[in-house]
Amino acid sequence: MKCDDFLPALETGGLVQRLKARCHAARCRRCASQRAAFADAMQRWAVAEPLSPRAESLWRQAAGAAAARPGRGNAWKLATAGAIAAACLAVACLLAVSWHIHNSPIAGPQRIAAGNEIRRLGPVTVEEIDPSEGSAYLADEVRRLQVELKSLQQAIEKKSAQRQIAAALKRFGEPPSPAPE
Amino acid sequence: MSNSAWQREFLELLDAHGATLMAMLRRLCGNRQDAEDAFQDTALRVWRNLPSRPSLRNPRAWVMTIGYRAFLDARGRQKRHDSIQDPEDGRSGSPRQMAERAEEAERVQAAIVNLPEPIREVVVLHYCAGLSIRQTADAMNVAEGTVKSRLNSAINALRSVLQ
Repeated sequence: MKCDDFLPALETGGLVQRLKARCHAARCRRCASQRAAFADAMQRWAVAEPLSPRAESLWRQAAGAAAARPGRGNAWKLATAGAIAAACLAVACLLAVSWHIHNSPIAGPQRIAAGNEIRRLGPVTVEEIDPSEGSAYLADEVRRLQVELKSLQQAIEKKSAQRQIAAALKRFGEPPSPAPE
Repeated sequence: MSNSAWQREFLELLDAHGATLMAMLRRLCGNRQDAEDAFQDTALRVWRNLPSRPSLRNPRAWVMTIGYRAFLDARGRQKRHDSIQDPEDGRSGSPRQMAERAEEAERVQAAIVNLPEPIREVVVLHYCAGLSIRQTADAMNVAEGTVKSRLNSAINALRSVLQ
């Protein structure tokens, strides 16, 4: 072992290197004295002064300042997480209620045909009608109205005929017979 | 474990490692004020993490690692590098011996201060805090080989001072 490698081998080397270094120090007085000087210098440099009363009080205060019991940091984190979760839940409930209020259908015209699509755009309910379905529905309605009009015309003609018969009988002095229902 | 038992263990840590912790922080921080701030921060962290401390772990390495992390956080908040004041030592012996020791201590101190920051931290953790190479590597989150390499650089620098 070279003298230059002695101290690094002794301080940071493995088991074998440290053993070689000690053997080298047993033979080399210069390295032995260097080792002693280095150890002495580092020991004196690293010496720890007794703690000052201020430092001791800082340490003791930590126990009182942090919490009545160690590990309170975790409890604080848990409490914070719980509060955040509760706040998130409350916001979600508010959003759900708000959405429900804004999207509930308002009173408006009834659906005019089956199968038509109803879309809700905010507070307004829009009913989309298929044009083909709409025209068929209107044609049915026209036909139904025509039938109803025809029956009404027949009823009017019947009433008119009854009135004419009653007038003729009155003119000839016979009491009118009751009109058939 | 009751609160008084925690406090007793907490104060035992102070008695056993408080002085070494403060010495390490003074050498890392470079001045007494920052060292005391880091010391207080370390005390708070130790108190908070006392229940989760593994029982088989070396208490000294645990406390020193927390102290080193507190120093790193403090340094991140406030970059300040004042001159390191070496603790008083070498009071025994003749006046000539004391003078020689003081002179040598100043040379060693100056050499350590002039080391690059990562190398100086390794020297402080290993020689001042008394951490092994593996514990130093764990505290600094680096490989053991990196710690050895930095220590060798420091030894070469200090050896030239001591010759």
